[in-house]
Amino acid sequence: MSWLILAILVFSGIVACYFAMLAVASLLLTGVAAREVYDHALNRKADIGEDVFTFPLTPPVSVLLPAYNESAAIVESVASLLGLRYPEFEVIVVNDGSKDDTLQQVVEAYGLEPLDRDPPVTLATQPIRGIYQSRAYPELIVIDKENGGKADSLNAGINASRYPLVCGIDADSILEPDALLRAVEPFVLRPELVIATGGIVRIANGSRFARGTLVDAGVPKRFIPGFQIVEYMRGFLVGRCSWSRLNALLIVSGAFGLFRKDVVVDAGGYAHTIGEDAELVVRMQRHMIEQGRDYRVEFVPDAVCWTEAPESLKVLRRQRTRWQRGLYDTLSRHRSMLFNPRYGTLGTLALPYFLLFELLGPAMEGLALVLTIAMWAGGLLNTGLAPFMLAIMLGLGLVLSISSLMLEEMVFHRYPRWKDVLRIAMLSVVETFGYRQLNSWWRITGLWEAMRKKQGWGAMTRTGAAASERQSFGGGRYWSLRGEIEERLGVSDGSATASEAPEPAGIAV
Amino acid sequence: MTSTLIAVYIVLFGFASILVTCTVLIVSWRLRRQVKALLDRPLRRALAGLPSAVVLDPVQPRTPRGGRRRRVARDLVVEATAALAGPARARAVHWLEESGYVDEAIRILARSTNRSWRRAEAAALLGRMGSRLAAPALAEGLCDRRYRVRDACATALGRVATGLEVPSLIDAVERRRVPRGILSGALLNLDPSADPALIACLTHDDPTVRDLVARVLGMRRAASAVPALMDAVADPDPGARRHAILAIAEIAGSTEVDVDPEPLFRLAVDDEAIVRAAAATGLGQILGDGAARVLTGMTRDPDYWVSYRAAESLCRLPSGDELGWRILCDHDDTPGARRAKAASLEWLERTGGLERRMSGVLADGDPEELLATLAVLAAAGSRAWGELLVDGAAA
Repeated sequence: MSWLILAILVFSGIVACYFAMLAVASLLLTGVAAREVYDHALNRKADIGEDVFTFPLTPPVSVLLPAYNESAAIVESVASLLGLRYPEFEVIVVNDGSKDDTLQQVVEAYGLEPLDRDPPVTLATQPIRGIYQSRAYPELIVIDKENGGKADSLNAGINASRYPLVCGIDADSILEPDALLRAVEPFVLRPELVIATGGIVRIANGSRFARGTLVDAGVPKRFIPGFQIVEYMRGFLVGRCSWSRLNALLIVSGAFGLFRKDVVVDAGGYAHTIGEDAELVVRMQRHMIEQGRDYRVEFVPDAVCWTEAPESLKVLRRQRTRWQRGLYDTLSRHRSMLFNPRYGTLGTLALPYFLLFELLGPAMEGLALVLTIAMWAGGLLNTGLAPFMLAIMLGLGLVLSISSLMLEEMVFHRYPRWKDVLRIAMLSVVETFGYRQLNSWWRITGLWEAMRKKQGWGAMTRTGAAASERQSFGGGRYWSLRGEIEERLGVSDGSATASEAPEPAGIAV
Repeated sequence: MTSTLIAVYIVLFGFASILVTCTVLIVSWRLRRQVKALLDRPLRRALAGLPSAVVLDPVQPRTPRGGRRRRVARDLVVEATAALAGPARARAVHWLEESGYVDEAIRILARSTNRSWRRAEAAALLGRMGSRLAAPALAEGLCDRRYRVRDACATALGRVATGLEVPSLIDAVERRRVPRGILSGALLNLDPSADPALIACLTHDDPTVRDLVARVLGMRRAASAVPALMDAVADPDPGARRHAILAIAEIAGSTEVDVDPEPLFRLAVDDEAIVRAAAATGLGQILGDGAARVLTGMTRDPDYWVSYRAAESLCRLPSGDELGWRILCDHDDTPGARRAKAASLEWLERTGGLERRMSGVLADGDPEELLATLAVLAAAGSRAWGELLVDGAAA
């Protein structure tokens, strides 16, 4: 019995040390993030990078938009991309064998016409069914391919891209007009070093959009998307900013990330995995370190991408378990980098942090809870120490959330109304009790599923929160000529007219 | 037990203090911003006519007195300066100089005891004010020990400098003091008197400088740089060769240029694919139909992007529809010919050449010709048009 007691006491000591380390690491990261955000603000005040639009060395960008069953938001997303303020870019929409009318929506809205193009197969992908172009918007290309997942779609987009930088965007995301310019700035300022940059992702629920542009930023009335605003703010303004400063950024969000194409191709492109964005960033960095080349992966906090957050617990649970599986997968693929000094800050600091505190953190929280109950049942619980630990953990989360709100207010001022800021502050307090624990539980189940090798994304339900009215952007001369030829040849089935394009997937390889 | 409770209270007190501090900071920042806007608003309203008075009145108005009033006046005129050009801008800049704003900012920039962000802000303000008086101080700022000040000075120099500052800017490129991206912006914005100094840099020892200057000269549409750029197409550095031909192409887009095509044709068989791709883009723009033969050959280049760019250039030529169609009609079936056909087919579709041909064939009303046209397209690998031939044959 005494051995059991000793084991419990030793283990509780380990857990206490673990949480102390977590607290110190979180506070240090917050400090580093504050410094980064402050520096960023000072650079902006000094006009540094303000003229990127006119710089001769601003590289052209291929924006890749993979879409699977995204008919609710696809037209609006493409409209927002075509309206970007950027000197030279192309938009490549990749329809990943959608079962809904995603392709039809884009074809009709932008008057797409088929293009006989076979891009070089630099990265292997599922077969391409057709490529379309818009005469009204020559910079818009649409690829229709068989279903192969998001990574496969992005690889297909990379194959077809013309420019040296590729930018991955989610189909339900809306970029601010100058987001791409902001995100590309590190590539212009440090072209030899920067291999990837990521922008900040903000929650679109509660904000108003028109023609793919933000009109009014706000906080949703519902708690679930509201909590996610706090989470995203904390994750991006504290997490990403601090790791970016330490040049050990592990994740560039799939919703808005910019990469040097040659490095992506050299590293082997996107892998067919759950967390393909994080995995690619780690692989690219690993590739650069193993080649002995200097590099930087940077986070740009004022390159803003608005995305629709899940509004139901069911969808949110699916998303969070998927993220945890993705993290597990990335860390297990690159486990040889863990604690390996050869990989510098990435191997000795960032990857261990993500392993200990992001991947195993929820499990440790659960374990601490079980331990507390066991100790209480056995009469071993120090009733003074337990509330002390609890106060530290809850208070720490709260401090991190409020700090991120402080960073937001220090520099970015995205929410102009007092009531929105107060609401975010209130949500930061409320999410500490209940929501965070629920999130930890989902992450534990995600870890469990990952260990049991469960695959797949699960369906994401979009409501098109960022969408406004539907609109048509161009005509289709090809379809009218085709209709005329079909008539002459006596093969017309009446499907091809200028106003009504036929099912685009009908073009056979 | 008591000591534990005290520890709990200390922790709770610590967190509570952090929370309160953060909240106070958030509220005070917001309030400060709003109060500043509130106090500035009546002043901005009162001084709204100042920029037009500065520009239009024969006798320029005196500088307003008082800290806030003086700052608001400066901001209003600086904002207006950004939208002005020619004599109006010169008058606004003159007023800023006479009012002492420029000297003030130069003093802040030059004082090394000032914080770096304050100096960087002063440099940015000098750039926005657009006074040439600031150029020497900004050029000196390129050697500052703090990167932020150097970057801000380079950005500002691009807005105020003449040709005299070119050596300082080039030196900053050479010594890697300021990112090339920022310097390229600065060099681009220099006034036309800087062209001779920039052209001289095309023979600089550092290939980075030659590469950058070639690109910048092209974007400045400096017609006087064409002879030097023609020499640069034989540069040992591939980046410089690439940018030299692209620069000539850009200049040719705005003015007539008369060049010897032979050195340019040599780039079509360059060892580096990026140079050949640039040549494919540039040749069509510089030589027009005179480049048709070389471009037709380049559509068979083993590199995908060279072939793609050559087809693009070819199809954009005045006789591009016909030249592209000729490639499609070629009976050759080697990999090179197939690459050429695929690229030409895409660019005929993108430039509308194929639709123009189809419309012509339909207008003629000859079904044989229509079928022959569709047969060519099907043989060239057209999925979009080829399937009509299959349907037509079946019908």
